[in-house]
Amino acid sequence: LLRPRTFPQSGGFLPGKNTLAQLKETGSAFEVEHECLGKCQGLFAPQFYLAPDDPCIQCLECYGMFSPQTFVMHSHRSPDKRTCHWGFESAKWHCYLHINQKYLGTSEERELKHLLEEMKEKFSEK
Amino acid sequence: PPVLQPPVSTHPGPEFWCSIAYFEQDVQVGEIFKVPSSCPTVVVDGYVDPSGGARFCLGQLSNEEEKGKIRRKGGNGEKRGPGGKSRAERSVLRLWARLHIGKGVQLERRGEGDVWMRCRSDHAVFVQSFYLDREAGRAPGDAVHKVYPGAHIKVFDLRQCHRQMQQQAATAQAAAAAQAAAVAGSIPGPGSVGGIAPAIGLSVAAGLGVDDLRRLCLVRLSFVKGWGPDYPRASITCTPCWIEVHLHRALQLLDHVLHALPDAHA
Repeated sequence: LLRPRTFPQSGGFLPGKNTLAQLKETGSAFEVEHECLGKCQGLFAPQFYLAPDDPCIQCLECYGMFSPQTFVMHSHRSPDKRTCHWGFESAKWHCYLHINQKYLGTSEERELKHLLEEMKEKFSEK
Repeated sequence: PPVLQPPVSTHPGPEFWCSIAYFEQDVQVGEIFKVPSSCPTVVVDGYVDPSGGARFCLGQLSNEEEKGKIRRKGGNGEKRGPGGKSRAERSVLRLWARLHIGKGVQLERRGEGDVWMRCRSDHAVFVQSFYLDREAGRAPGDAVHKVYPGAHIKVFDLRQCHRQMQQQAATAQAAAAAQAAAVAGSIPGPGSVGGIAPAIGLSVAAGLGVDDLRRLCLVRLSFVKGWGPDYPRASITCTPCWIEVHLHRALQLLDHVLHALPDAHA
C-alpha cells in the first residue's frame, strides 16, 4: 500500500516553454502519459535518453525534465482522498508509461507504440 | 444465546469456487462465468476465445440487453441514455474500454477460499474489497483500491470475512430483538400495523440486511476507470466495464451463519 505524498517535485534543468518548442522541432519527440498517483502528460525525447537516469521527458505543465522513472512519480494533481494505491513501484515505470491517448486511432499510433517499446527495452537487462 | 461458530473448514467445498458477472455501466453483459473448484486460477481478459475453462474473455461478449432495448424502441440510434451519450457513443466507449482491458487480471484461490489478484493489464484496475479496506485502515466501503500493472496482491480473506459476517449478523439480530421488544411493550397508536416481523426488523433495525452480508462475499473490480470522489464517476455502475466476483465458499459460510441465528419467535 502506498500513501501518496504531495507532488510535484522539481524536475531540474532545462525548464521553460522554449525547450518544449525546441524538443518538438527535433521531430522525433512524442507525447506520453502516466496515471500513477494522479496523472501527467509529457514529451519524450529519445535523443536525450542515453543512460537510464537521463532526463528525457518534459512535463507539459511545468516544463521540468525527468528520467522515465522519476516522471511516473511526477503529478500536479492533488493527492487522492478516497483511493488507496497498491503495488506501485517507480522501477516498473515501463508498465505505467503509455503514448498520449490523442494518438490512439491515428496513423501514428502503431509507430509511436513501437518507438516507446524500444525505449522501454533500451536499458533493460535481457 | 451465543451464535453457533462452526470452524471455517468443516463443510464440503463448493463445486465452483467463484462466479463472475460482467457489466458495462449498469447492464450485465453475457452469461455468468463459473469457475470450477478444480481450477484455482482464472484469467479475465479482453480477448475473444469463447471456450471457457480457466479463461473468461470479455471481448467476445455482446450486450444482448442493449440489443433488446434497441429492438423495443425501434432502434433509430438517436436515443440518449444515462450521461447524455448516444448508443453509438457508448458503443465506441465500450470498445475502447475493452481494448484497454488487454491481458486483464488473474484471480487465484488459495487454501480454502482466500483470493489473490494479479494485474496483467497495461492499465491499473480499481477494486472494491472489504479486505483491502481493512488492510488500508479504512472504514468498510470507504475506499477504492487502485492496483497497478504487474502488482500481485491479496484481495479477500475467508476467515476475516467469516468473522465479520458473524459479528454483523449478531449485531443485526440484537437490534432486531430490541426493536421487537420495544414494539411489544408499546401501546399501538392509531394506524399502527401491530407487531413487526423479525425478518423486517433484521433488515431495518440495524440498517443491515442479508444483502449487506452478501456484499461481504464478493469482490468488484473495474478495468481502466476508477470511481468515487477522486474520479468523475460516482459509482462502479457508471464505469464502462467491470466485473463482480461471487465467492461461493464465503456465501456457503454466510448461509450457515444465517441458519445459525437464533429464532426470534422462540
